[in-house]
Amino acid sequence: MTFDLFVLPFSIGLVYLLIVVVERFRHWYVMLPPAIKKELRHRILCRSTVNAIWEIIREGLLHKRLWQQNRLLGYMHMSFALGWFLLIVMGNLESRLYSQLHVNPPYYPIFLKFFVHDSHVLPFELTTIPGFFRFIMDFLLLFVLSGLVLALFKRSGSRWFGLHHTTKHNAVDRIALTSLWLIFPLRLLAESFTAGCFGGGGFLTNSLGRVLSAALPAEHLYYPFWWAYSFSLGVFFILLPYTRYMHIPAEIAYILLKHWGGPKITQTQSYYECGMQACSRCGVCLDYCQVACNGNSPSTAPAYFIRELRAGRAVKDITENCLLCGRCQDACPVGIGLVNLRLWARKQLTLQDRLLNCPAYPATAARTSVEVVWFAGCMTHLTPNTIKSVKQILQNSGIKYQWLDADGSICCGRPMLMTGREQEAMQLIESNRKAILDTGARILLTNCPICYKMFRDNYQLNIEIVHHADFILHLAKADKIKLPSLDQKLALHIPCELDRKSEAATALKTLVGRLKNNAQEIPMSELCCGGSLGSLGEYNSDTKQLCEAASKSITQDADVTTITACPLCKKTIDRHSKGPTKDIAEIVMETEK
Amino acid sequence: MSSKRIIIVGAGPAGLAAAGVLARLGASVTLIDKDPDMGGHLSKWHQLFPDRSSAQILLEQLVSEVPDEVSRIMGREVIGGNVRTNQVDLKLDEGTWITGDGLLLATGFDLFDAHRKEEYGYGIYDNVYTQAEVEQMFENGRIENRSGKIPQSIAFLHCVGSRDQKVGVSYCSKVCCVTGVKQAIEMREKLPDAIIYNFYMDLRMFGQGFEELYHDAQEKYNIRFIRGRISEAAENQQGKVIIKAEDTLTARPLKLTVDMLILLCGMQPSKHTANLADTFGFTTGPDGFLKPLGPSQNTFRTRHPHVMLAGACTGPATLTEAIQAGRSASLALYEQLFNIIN
Repeated sequence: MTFDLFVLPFSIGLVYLLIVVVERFRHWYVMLPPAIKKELRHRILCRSTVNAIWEIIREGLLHKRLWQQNRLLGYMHMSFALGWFLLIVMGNLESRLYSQLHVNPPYYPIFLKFFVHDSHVLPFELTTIPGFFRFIMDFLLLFVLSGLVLALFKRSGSRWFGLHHTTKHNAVDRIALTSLWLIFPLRLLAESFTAGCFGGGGFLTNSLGRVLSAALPAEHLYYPFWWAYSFSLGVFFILLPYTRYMHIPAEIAYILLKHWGGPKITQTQSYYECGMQACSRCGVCLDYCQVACNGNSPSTAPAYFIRELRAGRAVKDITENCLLCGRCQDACPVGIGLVNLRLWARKQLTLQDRLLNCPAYPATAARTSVEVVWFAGCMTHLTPNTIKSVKQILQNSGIKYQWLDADGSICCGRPMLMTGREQEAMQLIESNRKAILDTGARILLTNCPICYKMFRDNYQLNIEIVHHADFILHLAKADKIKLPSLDQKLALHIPCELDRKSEAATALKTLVGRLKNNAQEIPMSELCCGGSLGSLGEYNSDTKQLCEAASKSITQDADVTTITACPLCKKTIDRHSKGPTKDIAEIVMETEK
Repeated sequence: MSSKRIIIVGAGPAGLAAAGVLARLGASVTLIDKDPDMGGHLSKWHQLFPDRSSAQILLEQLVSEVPDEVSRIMGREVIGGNVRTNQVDLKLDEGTWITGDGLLLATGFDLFDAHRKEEYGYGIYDNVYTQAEVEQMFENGRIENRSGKIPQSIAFLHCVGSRDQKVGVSYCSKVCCVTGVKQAIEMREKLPDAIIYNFYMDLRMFGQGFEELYHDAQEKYNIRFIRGRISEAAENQQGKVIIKAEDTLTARPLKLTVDMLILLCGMQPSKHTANLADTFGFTTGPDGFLKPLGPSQNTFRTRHPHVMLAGACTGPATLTEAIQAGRSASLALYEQLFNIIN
């Protein structure tokens, strides 16, 4: 007997799911530009595939990044993913022992215990292969069920999982969640009742079956439970593409695209759409989103933002009030390019708009054979103390330099890019790029992290791009500048635009560490100051709240000087912190006088 | 009738006016100020808007109206104390305590700290000044820049630290508009050949005679008014100030070089006011000024019946308003303490 009517809900669900997923994957592939398709085909037989598979195992099954976040959270996700995956693999192997066929109908391994009642071997007896399988299958089921218990516990005790906030779900998600949660207890009961009637089963189902059959009419109950089990599977599969559980297939596709697509993949529609689907709404980002935590707009957090995107609602507020600080992206266990996703959504919002008249104010730079070209940036023009200090540093160093925007501020184009106006940004980039290269300088120095990021990621200059923190550190190492040793209390605010893991950010930390003449720890914040250009909302009380929270995280005292290395951070923090705020260049030069 | 002891903190126009009224009504008044001299900001001013009368003469009048019996504690700051029912105890920075039956706070304002608008270069460039420094120049009778030269071009910038959310100040300080116009006219009188600009967002000429003064500035004194805030300032090698702005009436960007940039700074609650609010738990508004019980009635009352507020400690005020508030608050306090009403 290898068929029963109750397998139908499962089978229909599975077929439906496969059709939808294959169609989505095909859609993502077809939408790729031809060059990337070529790249993708080329890389399939390369090391990229090995790397991709390893990442799928590491993040899709083992959930390494979640483990790093919190062990309970990591275990919970792993037990579901790895446990279920192994149940499928082992179930398939086990079913082959009995059917002696290479190809079984897909439902056969899932409902094996219904079709085969092998009672010859006792539980725990590992000497024969069927016994081993029965042990391992029960063990894996227990593994998944332990994750389920944790998931139930997480509903009320999310703090134990390192989460202060958890995502709130909508109706379809709740139905899918319920059917998912029912799958494994129903399987346990169906298998146990069957074991109670016919024997067989492993240490878990056999024992439970005996207990249950002693108390309940197992012979009448086991069959309905197989139906219920199949039904919950079927419902889950049919709902899957329309819920957050689409992340299961999409994450695999996302990882493959990432490894196969080459560097330009991150700017493709397929990558955005796939990334959007790869979000599991695990909720890790909620605690990292300052707008959600310290501001007044909880739905700005990526988990909710992506939910709206998936539903086809490009909600203007939450697309626009994001700070683009990138903290969520650093924390995302799936590694979704969340900043680019937000920019992509902004681009969709501005696409129907007329092109802005965005005149470039080109710098007039003659080829002067300088070593360094210095670009202060428009925000720096609002902090003349910083300009004065950087100028002094350059003069003291004896390096031949040219100040590109001495005549007044030139826009690097980042504000345009951040509002989703790529075309306008490109105009500025082209004009500035020419001016920079015309100087013939070997190094482009900027003291604005916003410009720094822009030059690095969008200009393709092929000359060295250096942020002034890094520049000062190099000068100090080469003894071209003497660093002061300070007694005053310091705190350090790392600008988001510096990219927390970049060379420049590391240099800033090292440099500030060198300023202290005692070993006292300098409190450091990697939170966004709240004044980010990324947030398109007007300057409001939210900014104040965000900035105060960021300031408080490093100091509450009026006698502490906050050091930063960004003119925008400096101006924002100066407004809301009790003590003075200074740029790293000011600190270095101030004490030299 | 036993005399009631009233403490007035702040010997600016509001405090002086109050001290005069209360002493003449028979209260025993103690006047405290952190500065060694009386007069507050008024003592540092040259001429007053709109009639260009002398600040020093007005100050002398206000001081002369304070009878000799008023005890004056100058150069002392209130650093703590308690407000109890029917009694107020204040601790001074030298450690002594004084006790009164009633308290009148007239702790005034501070000029917005121009350093906070770093883009204008105050304290960084040589020739950026505040209106208070310019008033001193008028008082000394010499208009010259840091290197001792007579300026040929001067720009006044309105609304520095006023109606500017970027420095967390959304309110209007209301007196700077007319001050800028008055100072521009004074400048013209001293420097007939100089070019004088006023950069403004809009000019709020609300008081009697203000609008007329503004018209005179344009028609008789050839002051150039440009609608648009200055966005940033830089300094050239001669120490001149390069300013960038937008003329919003012609919608054109503008860049010009001047010998002097004068920042018309707004009012913010004085440090002393903020400290007292902290110490005594007085209510402050979102702007940081002390908040009286009501906006139209009870504008000097606090939740303590025997504690009154007067003048610019409750928000930006003209000199006229500060003096009126000082007198009105004293009457209210007098009525309260001497049971005239209730």
